[in-house]
Amino acid sequence: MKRRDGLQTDNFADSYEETASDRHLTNVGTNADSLSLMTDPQADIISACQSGERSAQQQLYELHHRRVYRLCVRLVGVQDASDVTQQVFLKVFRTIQQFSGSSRFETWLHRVTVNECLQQTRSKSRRPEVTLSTEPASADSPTGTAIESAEILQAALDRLEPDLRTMFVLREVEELSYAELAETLEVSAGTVASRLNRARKLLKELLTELGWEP
Amino acid sequence: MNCSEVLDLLSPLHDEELSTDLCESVEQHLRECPACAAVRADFGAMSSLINQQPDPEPPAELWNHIQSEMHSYISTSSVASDRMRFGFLRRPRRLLGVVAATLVAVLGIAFIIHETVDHGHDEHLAVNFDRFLNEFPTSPEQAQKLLHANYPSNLVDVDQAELEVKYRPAVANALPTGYTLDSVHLVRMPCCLCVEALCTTPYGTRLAVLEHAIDQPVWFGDRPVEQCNCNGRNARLIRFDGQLVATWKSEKRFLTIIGIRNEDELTNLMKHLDPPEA
Repeated sequence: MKRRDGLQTDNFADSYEETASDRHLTNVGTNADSLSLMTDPQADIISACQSGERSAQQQLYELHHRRVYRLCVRLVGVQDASDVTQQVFLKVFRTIQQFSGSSRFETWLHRVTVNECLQQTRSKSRRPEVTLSTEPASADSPTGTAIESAEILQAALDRLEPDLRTMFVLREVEELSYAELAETLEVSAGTVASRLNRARKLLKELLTELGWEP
Repeated sequence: MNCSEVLDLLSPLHDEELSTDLCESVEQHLRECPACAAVRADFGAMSSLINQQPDPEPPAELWNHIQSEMHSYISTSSVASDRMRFGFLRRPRRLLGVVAATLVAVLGIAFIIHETVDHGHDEHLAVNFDRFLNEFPTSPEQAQKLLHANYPSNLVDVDQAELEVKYRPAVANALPTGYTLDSVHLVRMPCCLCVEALCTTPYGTRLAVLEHAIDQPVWFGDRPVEQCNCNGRNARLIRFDGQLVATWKSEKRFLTIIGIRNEDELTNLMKHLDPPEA
């Protein structure tokens, strides 16, 4: 599977309990044999971070900060994304001894990021408000500009329930497979499919309300 | 395949996560059903919309901020340690004052740590329980696994549970007709030792019955709460994802039931699990 970050998606080792709806899905299986033959190029960097080496911390940051920031922008909005990204990396460096290597580092990092974003959302206790600088589309107004579509998309994402928004963004932006989504969010693959269906249905309704036309 | 079945499989189809045989069946339906085909086209359009967005650029100074935070985190403990070692030894007359100040500081720090740890526990508890509640309607077993992954738990019978928590668990009472008790666990939550029972209902759904010594509004986050008087008890109701959660005080502990279908089922459950005293 081609991904934005160029990471392979076939080294997903941990299994989970299969449900009836899981059985319809492909690619949710694991490939532990191929995993055991692979070496993680980050292993040395992570090991050095666990020893508290500053240069290794910067290397790890350079490898992942764009991905973390992008995810934070989509999950908590651009106004809070820097603060949350900072909190994510502080938490990573302070707790990296707890990373055992039993899952991929990216999975662990996604989980830390999602948890920080959920805490930020919860602590602000905000019901998302739409602050569009553009009016919804009308017959007289030009539509389809990049700025308008970006604002409409973010406004619609902000109005999705946090768990649906998280699932949708991890799938569409980070291009996680269903197996990776299940592991990162600690749910079954059947739940992944049903939440993505709900997220897309609701997002389409919200986008339409905001004037988006496919 | 009917439309409802196809709509359930549209996301896996769109994400190329559907098995080949099902993929062909769904595609066949889509060729003949404009309504379902339109939903699939919407999924594709939304993917295009999000993929058109440029990646946001992280602020250039972000790493410096992180470094600075890390530095102050490390140096705070280092400086405090130096002062403790050398400061008061140079001026014996100040010894008493330094000791007093240190005592105040230690008590202050202990208080702050205590408050921070409590707050941290609440945050984690809220996030963990939020996941449990969201997962429960679709996969009660998976939800239970999540809970047990975060908090130590033991599979017990009701008598063992009673010995540990010092009250008779409500699920030891006769359940309503058609209900079966599947498992009882003791779960060590941050608040207290909880009795967590999983039951199957005659409607094929599952219920989680939690008994806990301390009221736990933090479990439900910012979900709207309704008050009701049900079967002579003042209960709080939380509705979401088509399910009902009820929590109320009963003698020595609080009872929380998750996965209730409606108020009629709640009344029936309360009559059996927590009957009014004679």
